[in-house]
Amino acid sequence: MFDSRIPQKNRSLAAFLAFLVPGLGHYYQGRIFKASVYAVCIIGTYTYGMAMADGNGVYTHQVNGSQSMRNFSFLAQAGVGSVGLVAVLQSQRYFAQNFRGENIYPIEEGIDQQVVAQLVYNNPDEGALEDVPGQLVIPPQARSADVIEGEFIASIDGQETRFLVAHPSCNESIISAKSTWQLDCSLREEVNGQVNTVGRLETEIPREFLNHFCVPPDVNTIDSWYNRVGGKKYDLAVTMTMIAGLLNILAIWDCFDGPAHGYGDEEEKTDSNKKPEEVIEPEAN
Amino acid sequence: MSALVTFLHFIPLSLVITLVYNCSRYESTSAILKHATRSFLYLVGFMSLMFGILWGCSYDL
Repeated sequence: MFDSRIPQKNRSLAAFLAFLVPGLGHYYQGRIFKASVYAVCIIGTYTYGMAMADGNGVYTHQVNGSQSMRNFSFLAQAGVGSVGLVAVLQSQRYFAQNFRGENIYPIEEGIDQQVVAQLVYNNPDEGALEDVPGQLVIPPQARSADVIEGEFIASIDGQETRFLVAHPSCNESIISAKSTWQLDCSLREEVNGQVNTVGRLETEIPREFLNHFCVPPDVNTIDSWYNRVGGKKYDLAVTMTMIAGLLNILAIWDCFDGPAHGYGDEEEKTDSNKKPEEVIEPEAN
Repeated sequence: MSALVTFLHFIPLSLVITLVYNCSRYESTSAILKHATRSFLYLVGFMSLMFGILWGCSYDL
């Protein structure tokens, strides 16, 4: 209920602002203390939960092959509207893309990135070099180029070693919940003026933030989050975002309709206004 | 994350829940803080009591 002492302003707008960002509606109404409490408590809990889950855990659907299933915890998480709306938009973008297994490697942009690569040789005697740090440089080229080439400047035992790479490819959709995309290249060596393919290079390239944040994940991606973060910790993180979303519903309602029990000083007023009970003296016989 | 650290999340979480809940009940800052403190102590006390009972029941299992 709204007390005359509580500024309402445009309460529908205030409720919408509170839905978007916890505390913003109260700030608009001039209720600064409450705005601060809601902002710190709700945004803090939500952010902490998301940080615990490595920025994951808020999505509208989970995907299993060609099927998608609603994520019911999102019903609670959507209480914080700004993130909820982003998740809905990301879901629309994800399901609207028409991925047919094409190579999404950005030929015209090229790559100049610090990576950790796996080098696998065709000759079993040479084996594989795992987790090799280095700089992958593939210059931008025209889409019509016959061979796309670059080099991987690796640091092996403190020594700089250069590898020729070619034919970069990545067969993943552009928008995906995975925070990286896997790049495969053929590994080449020049012997007596002749360039031969001797193996392949695999590495993970960070995906753009807007192409993976709040995007519906597939089951394998969720499994990888569980394994990376830890099952219990991931569950706790998601629960915290759910609690924050539900608490924001209370804040939205407070913005729209005022505090449920009134201003809060009614009990004190009633106590101070109470008249002392009259003492009835017994009649003398 | 150890089980104890996971478990101890209930303290700040209880504080957040009681503060936000009481903020949505009252407008006066003093009323909010008074009721939130009382609710927080009730909640943490009750959960600690339950934890103590369950811990006692499972002792030496």
